[in-house]
Amino acid sequence: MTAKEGRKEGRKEGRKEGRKEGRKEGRKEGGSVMAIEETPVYEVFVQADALSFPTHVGSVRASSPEFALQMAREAFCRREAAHDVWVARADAITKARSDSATLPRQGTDKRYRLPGGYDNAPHWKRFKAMAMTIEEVAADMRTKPGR
Amino acid sequence: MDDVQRVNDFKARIGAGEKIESTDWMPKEYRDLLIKQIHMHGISEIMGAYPEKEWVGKAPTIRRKLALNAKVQDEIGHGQMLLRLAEDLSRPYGRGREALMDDVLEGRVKFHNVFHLEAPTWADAGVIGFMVDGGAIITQAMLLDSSYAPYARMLKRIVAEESFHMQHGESVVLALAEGSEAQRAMLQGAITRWWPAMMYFFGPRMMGPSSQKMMDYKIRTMTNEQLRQKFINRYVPRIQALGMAIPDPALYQDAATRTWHYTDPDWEWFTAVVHHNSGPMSQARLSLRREAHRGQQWVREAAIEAGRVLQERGA
Amino acid sequence: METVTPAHREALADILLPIADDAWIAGQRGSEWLGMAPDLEEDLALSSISQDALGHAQLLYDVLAELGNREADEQVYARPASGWRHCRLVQTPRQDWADFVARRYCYETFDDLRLHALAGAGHAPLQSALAKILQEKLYHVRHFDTWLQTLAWGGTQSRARLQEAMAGVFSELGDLFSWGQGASALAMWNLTALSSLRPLWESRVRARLEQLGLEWPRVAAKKSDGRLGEHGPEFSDLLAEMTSVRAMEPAGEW
Ligand SMILES: [Fe+2]
Ligand SMILES: [Fe+2]
Repeated sequence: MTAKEGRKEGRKEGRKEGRKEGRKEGRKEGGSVMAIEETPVYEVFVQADALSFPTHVGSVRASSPEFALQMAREAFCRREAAHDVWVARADAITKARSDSATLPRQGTDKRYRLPGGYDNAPHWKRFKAMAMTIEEVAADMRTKPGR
Repeated sequence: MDDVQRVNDFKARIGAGEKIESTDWMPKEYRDLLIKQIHMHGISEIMGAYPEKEWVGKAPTIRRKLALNAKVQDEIGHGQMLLRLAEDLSRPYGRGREALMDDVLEGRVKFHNVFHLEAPTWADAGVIGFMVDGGAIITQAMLLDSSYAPYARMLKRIVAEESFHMQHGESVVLALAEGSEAQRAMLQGAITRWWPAMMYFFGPRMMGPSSQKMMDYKIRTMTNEQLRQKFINRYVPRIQALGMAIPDPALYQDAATRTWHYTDPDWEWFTAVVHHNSGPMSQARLSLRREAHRGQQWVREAAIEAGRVLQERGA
Repeated sequence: METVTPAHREALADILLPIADDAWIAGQRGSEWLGMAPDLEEDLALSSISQDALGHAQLLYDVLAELGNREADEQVYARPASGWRHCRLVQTPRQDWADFVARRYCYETFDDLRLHALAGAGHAPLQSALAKILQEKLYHVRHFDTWLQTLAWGGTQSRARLQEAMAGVFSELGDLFSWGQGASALAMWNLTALSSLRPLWESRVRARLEQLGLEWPRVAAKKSDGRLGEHGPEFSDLLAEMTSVRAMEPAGEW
């Protein structure tokens, strides 16, 4: 592909990065500067097992989503199996940190919405009953009915 | 120039132990230091594949061949992960993978002194894992606390893999140490070759201004000399236990201060090797990298073109 | 197979050795690409595939050892060149990327067909090795098929390079389909299907090339037969290099 075609293609949607990097960059060959188009970047998310959420692990350069999956497998899952792998074009991801209005921060007192913000046990004790915790409820659900 | 107040606020955040992300605002000085460090680190990982790669084809057992292949693969993987970080940091300069890879071919980025040297025997392949990867773990473990979060996160993964490299290297070294006279002699030869290079590996006794600035920004947290002392302290007893000699008659530990005294490596020679790519294997390895990168630019271009065709066909 | 006679065991070894040797040499040659792939990501992919290939060979050498051959390491490091049964296709040293893609696409596609056909052999250790191998083989076939398509759609220059490489590779295909001394052994194990894989391979590859708009090159007749241990001086050199370190202490620990 010639440099001219590269720039022409660069105008298309989804080639933003290639154009940006390709234009400023150039390799001098025979006196003229050739634009070199960059292979797109995909961010990689690996879901270790069925009960975990996919977690960002890094990124790869790949020329298609199919290759991105193949390369992600090699770059980040060489040693352990995965439940699933997601890849997404890096330029399709928007991050909250770049816009401080949307970034979740510790604000005013939110204890009323946390389990630790409550202290029911002494009150239950006064009624001669036991307080419940979510862990204990969950453990109970794992035992057979009637036990 | 960056706003002085903004830079001071940034330094205060780092001083308070806050971590920085790739999309955060950062002073140009901090960005440039990070690029310098991570770019050099990434390129060194990639160039580090070549001395050992030569031995994959000749590995003496099936298991060793598989392990060495996997080890070299990991080094390329480290290079890939680190270059991705350096590429992200270089976005404001409009520089990506192509430019960062060109930098090593054109001498704009240096790589570690050890990867300019010859690895003439199988024992060298073992000693590289044992000593070079061992040294790299010491440096990288320090960087786990780096103020730049993407680097610190990636290093967690890298250090875990390095520990496999060290185990593999140790296993090769131990087999040779337990082997025949010829095997032991080969091991001694490799240790003698690599020791001075390892003394240089951690950098000069007095750190340069940019290393000092990296300490200020908490990109790194220990001095060159502290790292070197940790290395000597770990390796001297082990090498001696194998009945192998360390090629430094001046080496001794001060009983009171616990500080190791050692013969200086040939600082000038090694520095010239790194700066001018003038080591015994520098040009041969750079030409392999050139063949891979420049020689196959057509493949990357073809893949981009095919990716476009695929997208247009909605496949 | 209820009762496995010594003749049966020998026959199965004759059938498995070319398959194991193909995998080993493919892994050995594939390792030459370490640090040399078109980009870092592909370097990682290729290294995994080489490790897999060497691992597949090892699994099959273990099955062979159980059939009476020497242990796996000995089969690799202490066998004369004439004892190797791999084909020409996997032996050629690293050339350019188009050649490698064409070459490995042809080999992986054939090996996949061959391994599936082997699934009919009633030998438990082999079946358990095959189960592991086939799973990874699926990915190898996919990887080189993706590259075949990529180079075919990668523009005029890329397509021309691929077409030319394919012609070169087809000129080395001759002994890929040969069974050498193993031909009579196939009947003993009811595996005659293995001797007629060529038309299957041809129809699969022809359809794919057509789909990608590539020409079907001429398959040259075999000049020598690797399945009979004919590999030429190029392989003697490779073998000498491969065993050079171990030759220092052939019976030692490494
Ligand atoms: Fe590494
Ligand atoms: Fe390493």
